[in-house]
Amino acid sequence: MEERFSIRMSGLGGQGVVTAAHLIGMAASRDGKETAVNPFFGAEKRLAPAESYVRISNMPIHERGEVLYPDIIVIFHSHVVNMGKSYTMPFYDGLRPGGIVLINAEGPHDILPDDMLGLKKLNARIFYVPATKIALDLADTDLSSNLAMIGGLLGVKELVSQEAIRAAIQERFGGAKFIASGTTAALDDVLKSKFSKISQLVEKNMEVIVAAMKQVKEFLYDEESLRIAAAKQQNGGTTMKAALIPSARVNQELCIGCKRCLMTCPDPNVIMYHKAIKKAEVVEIRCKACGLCVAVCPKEAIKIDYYDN
Amino acid sequence: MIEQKVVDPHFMLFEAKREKKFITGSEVVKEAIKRANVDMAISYPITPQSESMHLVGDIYAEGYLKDYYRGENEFAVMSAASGAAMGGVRVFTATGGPGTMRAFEMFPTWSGSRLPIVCAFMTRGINSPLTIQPDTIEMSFLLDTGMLMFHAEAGQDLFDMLLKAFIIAEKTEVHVPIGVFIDGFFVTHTRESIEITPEDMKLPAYDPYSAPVPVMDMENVPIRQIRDPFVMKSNFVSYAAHASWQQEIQAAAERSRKYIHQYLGGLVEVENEGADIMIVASGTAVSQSREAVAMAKKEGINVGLIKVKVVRPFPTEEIRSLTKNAKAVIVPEFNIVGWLCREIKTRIDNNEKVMGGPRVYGGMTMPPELILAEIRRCAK
Amino acid sequence: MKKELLRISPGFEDVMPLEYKELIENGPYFKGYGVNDLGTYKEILEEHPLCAGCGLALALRLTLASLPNPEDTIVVGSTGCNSLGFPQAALQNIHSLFGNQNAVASGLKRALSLRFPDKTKDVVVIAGDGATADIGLDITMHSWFRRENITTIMLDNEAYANTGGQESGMSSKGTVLNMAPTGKKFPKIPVPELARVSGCDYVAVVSPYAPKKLERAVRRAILVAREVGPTYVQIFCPCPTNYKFKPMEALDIVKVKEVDGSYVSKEYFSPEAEELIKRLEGKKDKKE
Repeated sequence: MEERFSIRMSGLGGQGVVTAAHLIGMAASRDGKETAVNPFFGAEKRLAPAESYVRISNMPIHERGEVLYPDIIVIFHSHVVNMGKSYTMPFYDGLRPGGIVLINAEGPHDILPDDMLGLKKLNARIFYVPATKIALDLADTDLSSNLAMIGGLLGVKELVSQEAIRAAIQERFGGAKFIASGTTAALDDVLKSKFSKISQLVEKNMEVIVAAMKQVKEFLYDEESLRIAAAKQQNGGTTMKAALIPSARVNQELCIGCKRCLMTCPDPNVIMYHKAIKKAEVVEIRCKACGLCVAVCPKEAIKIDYYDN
Repeated sequence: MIEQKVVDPHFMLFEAKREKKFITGSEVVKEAIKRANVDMAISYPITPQSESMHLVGDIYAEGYLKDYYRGENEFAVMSAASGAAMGGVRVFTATGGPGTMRAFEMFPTWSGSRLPIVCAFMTRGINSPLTIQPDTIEMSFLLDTGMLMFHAEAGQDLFDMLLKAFIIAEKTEVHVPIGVFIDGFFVTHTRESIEITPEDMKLPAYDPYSAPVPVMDMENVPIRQIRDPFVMKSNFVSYAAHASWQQEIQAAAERSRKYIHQYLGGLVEVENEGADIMIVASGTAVSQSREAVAMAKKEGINVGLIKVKVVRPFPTEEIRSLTKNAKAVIVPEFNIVGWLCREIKTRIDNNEKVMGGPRVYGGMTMPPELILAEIRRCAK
Repeated sequence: MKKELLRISPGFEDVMPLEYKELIENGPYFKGYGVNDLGTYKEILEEHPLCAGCGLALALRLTLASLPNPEDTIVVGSTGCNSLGFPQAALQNIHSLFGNQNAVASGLKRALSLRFPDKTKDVVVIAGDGATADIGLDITMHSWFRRENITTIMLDNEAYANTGGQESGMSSKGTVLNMAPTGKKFPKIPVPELARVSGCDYVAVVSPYAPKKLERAVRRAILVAREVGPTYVQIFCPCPTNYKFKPMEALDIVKVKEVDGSYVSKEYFSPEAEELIKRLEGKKDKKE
């Protein structure tokens, strides 16, 4: 009798979705299970849709490609839902009855009323975990958010053992030559640079995982949430409170209007210039927090920080 | 250069009084392009199409084309043709054999980009080994590029097909490239009598704003217009977009059928319909088959001949109905793989009656006697 | 572009997306904007998926902001990181095949010259180092030999970045990259010198971290291409992702290479180009 479990992980390039899926697959494999992991993304770029699919079973798995009928959907960023940065639309299409949705979010979030009703009909269970916050608090880097998501996932369903995931992290980051894409390898290096030793990286990230396992909460459908969601949707606001996002911000008092920042920003219309007052201002939702503006500002008037969107 | 008038294509092609000229296939290309109101032609040498493009260069020098140059390789030439077509002009080029292979990436690109380019293919063997002599194997490689494919039997077909290709390709609901195929040497270098339309008449000019895709001339508003965009798995929309784009190219070919009937008189021509033995052939194989049919008649064997003029879109219904009652279907071809035989076999019932041959390749001539031998065998 | 075309079709005003309205009302068309105007208008380039801190993205953004007549400019791009920006660029552009961009541009420029004999239509090629110096080198050089009136701009991140960071002809000797596990065996291809010898009338090498210089080079290249002959601009955009450094370190890398001679900014004019630029810029000394 086959027991197959299929997970669809949906996020944006640079968040570590593919790595998270890879780690779970590695751990499942170590636990003696059959597993297959399929990453999926178009152009490999930051903030572009990035999905990965994990299949775990007690029998050999032949199916390839996307998991169209997942048992669990993991959401790393609100944009995959409200900006359509995913490979499935409507986003929750295909979720099995009784399925699970896990979202990277700080608090009870708003889901679109239609989605909420649809999920309720499926008897889907919705969970949320403040993955980015946990990662920043414990590991001092948002690059560990994906590990916090793994923790959240394990807190909802024990897919793999903790020993196995620990070993997977060790293997993945522990120096053995891993065939990653250039962008993944670059982020690997950044992550590794945050820790003086690999053992420290492993320990810290296990802490993140354990903390996330404890902090994952279930969202319970209620009339109040439906009302809030409907009201938000009517006002044209995006629903779903996202995790913290980093962005640059100009201290207007220090800004001298030299415009060096906006001539060094690789992204268009991120930094606007107010001619009348000769000041620059960042449009936060467009900022990718690369830090180039910070480096060129002669007055240290611009800084990167984390904001609620 | 003589002063030319734009005339209604129908009048020019079907009613105007034609003049007889004893010319080679290469000269036919010159005469056709001279009357086709072509804006630009780009060339590159390769046997057996070089002469055709020399002559197109000559008529450019006389003033019949607005621009012409020799490119640096076939891929570059076909690329420039696509740039020119995207800029909104009527463009012509030619190649064959290894040149076709060198340019290959551009052919599905042209189709996908909906560029109404007319390209003459003067078929020649594909390396290795090398031959400059005729072989139609390159047509088999081009069957699924989305280009329409007309196969001229001889010089007369070549003249008419080139002119009609521009008209059909540029129809808004078609708007895909057309390859006009002609066997090298057997036609390109052979002299025969051709009836050509008056010198002072030319086709109407191409109107780029009739295209179903935007012209790249910045004479429309500054929306985000890229030709052609990536429709790859960037998100859910891209799957649907890519899939429907491909379907649209296929559909364009289907929509060309009515124009092929209107201007070419149909995708096939048939003689002696209903005979027990039917030959289906295209290009020079038709010419050789005509001779074989005449020989067979002398021996009292009744043979029909289906000339396939258009290979893409394929005349499925026509072939099905015309071969339905035949007891044997003979498909003589100038290539080893038998692509025309394959096309037929996959589309008709009871296909065991299709004889895959005779075939010659590597530049050999196909003597009518060879076809006759097959006819005799089937008649037993 | 005819000025009357720059408007929303009557009746569609409330249906068009905000960014489209912004382009019509506050875009750079017909306004002669430059890099100095950035931050005050709706840019041609829109939000793109290139990496945070990408030097190439900055070069692309600045190049598009430097076009003398964006309302009559058509860009021919090619496969590579840069082509991820172009679906989001509000001027018509062609994504050609890998390496054939200068052939496509040749055909396009000639077609536009035929159709608009009394108007200037700038055809600008913007492509990466792989597209220009490797797979497209022969096609690029032949467009120069033929003296096509097009501007070729290479965004040089010294690698095939979009496919995961492989060695390209423009990588420096000794650099370890994918497909060069023991270091690249041959030196960086001297494309600016090839451009000169091949007949380009204006050649410049710049970086996006000196935005005014970049703007001047792009403008001059386009103006010279209009009337004199082919032009070439090479923009050094180090890639933080594949060369593994923090984005802001690009500024230092560019400075170091300028000083040690491995990547020096420069400018070359043919006599005709020099005369033209002097006339158009009305300056005695072409250097600032």
